[in-house]
Amino acid sequence: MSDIIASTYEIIKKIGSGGGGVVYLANHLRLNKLVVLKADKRKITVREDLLRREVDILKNLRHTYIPQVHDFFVENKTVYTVIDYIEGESLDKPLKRGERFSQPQVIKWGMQLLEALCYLHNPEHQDPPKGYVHSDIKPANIMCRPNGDICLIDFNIALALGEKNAVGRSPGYASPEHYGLDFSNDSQEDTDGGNTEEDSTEVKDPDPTRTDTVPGGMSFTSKYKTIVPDVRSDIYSLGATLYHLLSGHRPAPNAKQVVPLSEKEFSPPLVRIISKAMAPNPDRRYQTAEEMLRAFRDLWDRDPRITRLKRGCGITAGILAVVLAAGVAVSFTGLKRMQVTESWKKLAEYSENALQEGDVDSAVSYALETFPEKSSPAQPGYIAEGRNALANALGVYDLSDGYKAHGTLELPSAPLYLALSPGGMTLSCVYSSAVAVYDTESLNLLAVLPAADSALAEVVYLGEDTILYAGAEGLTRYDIAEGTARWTGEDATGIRISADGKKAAGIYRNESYVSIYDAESGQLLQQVDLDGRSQSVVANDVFANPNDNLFALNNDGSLLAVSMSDGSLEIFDLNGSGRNMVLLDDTSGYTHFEGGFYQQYFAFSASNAEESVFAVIDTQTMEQTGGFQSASRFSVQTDETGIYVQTENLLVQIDPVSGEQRPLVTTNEAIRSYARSSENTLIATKEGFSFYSPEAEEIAVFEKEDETDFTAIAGQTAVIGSRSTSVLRLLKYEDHQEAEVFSYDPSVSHDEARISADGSRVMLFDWQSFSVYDMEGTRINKVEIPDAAQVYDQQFRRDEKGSYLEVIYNDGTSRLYSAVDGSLMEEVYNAAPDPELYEEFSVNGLRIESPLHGKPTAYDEETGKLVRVLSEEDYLTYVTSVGENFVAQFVTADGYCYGRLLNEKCEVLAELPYLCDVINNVLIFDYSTGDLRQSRIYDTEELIAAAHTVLGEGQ
Amino acid sequence: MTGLTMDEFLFYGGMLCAAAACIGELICLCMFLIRKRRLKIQLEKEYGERK
Repeated sequence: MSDIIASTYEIIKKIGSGGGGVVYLANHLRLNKLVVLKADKRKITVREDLLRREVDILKNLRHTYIPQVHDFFVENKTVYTVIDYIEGESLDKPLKRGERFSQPQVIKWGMQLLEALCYLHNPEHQDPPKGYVHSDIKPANIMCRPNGDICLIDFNIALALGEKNAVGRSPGYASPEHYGLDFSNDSQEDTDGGNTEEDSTEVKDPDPTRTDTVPGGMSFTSKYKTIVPDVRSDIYSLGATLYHLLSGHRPAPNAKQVVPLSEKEFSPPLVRIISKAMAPNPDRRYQTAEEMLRAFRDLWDRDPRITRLKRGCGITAGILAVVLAAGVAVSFTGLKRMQVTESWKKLAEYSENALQEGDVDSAVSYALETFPEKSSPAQPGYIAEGRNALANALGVYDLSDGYKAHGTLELPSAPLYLALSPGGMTLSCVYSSAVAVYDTESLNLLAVLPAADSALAEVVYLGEDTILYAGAEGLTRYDIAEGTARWTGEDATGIRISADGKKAAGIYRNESYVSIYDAESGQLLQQVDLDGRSQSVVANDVFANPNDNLFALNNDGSLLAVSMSDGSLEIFDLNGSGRNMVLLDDTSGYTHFEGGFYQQYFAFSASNAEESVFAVIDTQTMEQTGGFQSASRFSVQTDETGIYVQTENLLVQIDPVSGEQRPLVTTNEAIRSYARSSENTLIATKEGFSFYSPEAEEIAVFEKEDETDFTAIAGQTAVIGSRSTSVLRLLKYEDHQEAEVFSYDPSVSHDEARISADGSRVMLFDWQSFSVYDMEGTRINKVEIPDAAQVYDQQFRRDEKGSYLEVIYNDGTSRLYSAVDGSLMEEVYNAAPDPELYEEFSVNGLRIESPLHGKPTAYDEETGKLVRVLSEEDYLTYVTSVGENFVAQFVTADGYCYGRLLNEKCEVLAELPYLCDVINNVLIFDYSTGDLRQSRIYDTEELIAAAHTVLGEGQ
Repeated sequence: MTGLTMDEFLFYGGMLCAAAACIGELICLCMFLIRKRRLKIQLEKEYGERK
């Protein structure tokens, strides 16, 4: 053989030989590139297509792990194939040397081979598309390059997919199909049904491309067969090759006799891949190279340890994420509830403020907002503050008789003058050039009438439904019920009506005459000339009315009293008899006048900055019957009941004949304004306003921030107003006689009142004595407690012994007095009690301690944990369980008894003023008017329903 | 009154749970990363470098 082949290739050395021929390493002379020359040993007389088999397969293949064929020629009757020179050695050589390969190395090669097979088997490369089966994958046909990558070589017996050519086989690496064995149904099948012999059999093919002989253990008698291997055969061969590379020994030729790799020595997933690749049944192998390659690639992702790690972490993270979400949700819910609770507490505060200002509807409305219409996790249940506010706003536990807040009226601007109808059913208010008339019960606006543009404009009632007001057109008589004006006279600001209602007097600002009208017809009866004088009027009387003027008519309208700006005061005889009387002339120096007529008497006060004088004049005799003088201003009012004088903090009624003074009101602060009805007196001071009984007893007190300038009281209605605010407060007298269970003489002194268990007896007692009554108010017995100075404590008890008063003495002696008749039931001698007067109550899981010189405190009975201090200043007298709540009774230092309805957290659900007893879940209140009244305990739903009723009525 | 109200208990309790869960997640993440790294080394030792 020449060194130069085809004038192109210079033989460098022989690098191998085999069944197919000799393989040389050569140098391409022109390209100066190493190539492999395969000299096919078969004669050229062999069919060319058989000689070109490998070339025809490789010429169209381009893959990293498959060698490229460059040329094919014949020289000297030898067929040469020029192929890429693959540097390195075939893997059979190190195997023969006994070398073992690492598992990662084998996996890497396996994946590279599979990539090559994927390309090879893919019928899309070349034109027309055709795929190939290598059919002889074994270590000897795998080159390992110096860089560690492999290259699949020797495509001599490769088949196009679908070709039915006989092929050779390499024992151990060849699939069962190569032997004509069909395990697809998991049964061995002889293609010729021949016997088996344990001898090597050479398989001859019509196209002798066999590569090896079949070793012992499996053989066939047929020497000529045609089998159709497919891609799965390559899969088997690859698996067998990897098997050998890992284990170091060739697998058994009989697929069923292959010993699986040890899962202790090699990774179980890898063992399973190779085992599956080498499954005798082709249907159980990987069906494609891609599938097996994917299996290799999934080694990392699908390793059980990775799976376990991911699963474990995923589960843990999932659980923690759920906990996190739950925590956030719970926290958000708690925050939302806290916000709602705070807003409800604010609403409860607004309710209390509104109630203090007399706006009952707003108080109820605010309190109602603290009760959610629908329950939801984000909303807490009702709060104690809300329930307390609603109970207070509704006044359900205030059973005392007296004036209670009824509502407020907001005028378009601050009032200038107020007047109540004689029965208190309507209220007329003068404000900025208008008169508004309201129904005092419904608070509805009945009429708005144009008024004189002056702060001096007045309105007076002729009867319950008729007013005379200073109209814009003049003095006007208006019928409220009909809503019509009856007549209009001349301009007027000041208006007076005679007590008999027949005459009306009108004076306009600083005019120098007074017009006298027939009150019914409006006929101008006469005009009284003031002789050039006029009443005192400020320069701008649109906004200000100093109320310095006296303007009065007597009972029958025969006398008219007018004060003048020059300080004079004169009584005019309207009968024309000329019996005018100048009480004060223009030298008096007085600037402020008040007064009026009572019967035949005229009472007045005249004041300036230094002094004030009061006098009573008998208009029949024209003589002064009484009077006095002071540095403090006197305020004088008269009506059909008498003469009333107020100075500083004292209001008295004065007998015009004797001058005797009957005190009506004595206050702590100076009286700013006052009004009287037939029953009560309304007093306004700097601190607020209060009501007094005819006996001069204060019966109700209200606080008020704005200074009171207007007071009016008539019938069951009282009105409070101020020049600094447009809001008027209305109060109505409430009577709760229907709740009375017992009535007694209010002069009977007692600290406590109790009802016997059977409800037939009432006991009123203090530390000195007690009285027993039947329910009709008849006193059955009165007992003076012996040695009262030694009394330690008193307790009214209702137990198995009956109802009785236990009087406990300092020495431990206890005397039990029957509530039936006051008789001594029993005298018991016990140890001396704790001088600290300590009491303990147990109720609804709470232990309540009540020391004499300490604050009553509630503790949890089980844990002993402090729940709440029940009162900062007052003494706890008794505790009674009422369902899930309880009532605590207190007494203040000055003897005022009251109670509180508390829940399990000792939060106040309701204030119970004047509470004296709780019996069978019924509250008993003791009022200083000599009444015991009862009320049941209202639950939340009842309070809400009552609130809706109140608001519905008010709309 | 001493102690927490139910709403405060929900709020602070929920925050505590959420905080504990966050910390737990962080710990779980750290442990996962550590174990993943160790497993990666072991798998690379068995299967070679991942491609």
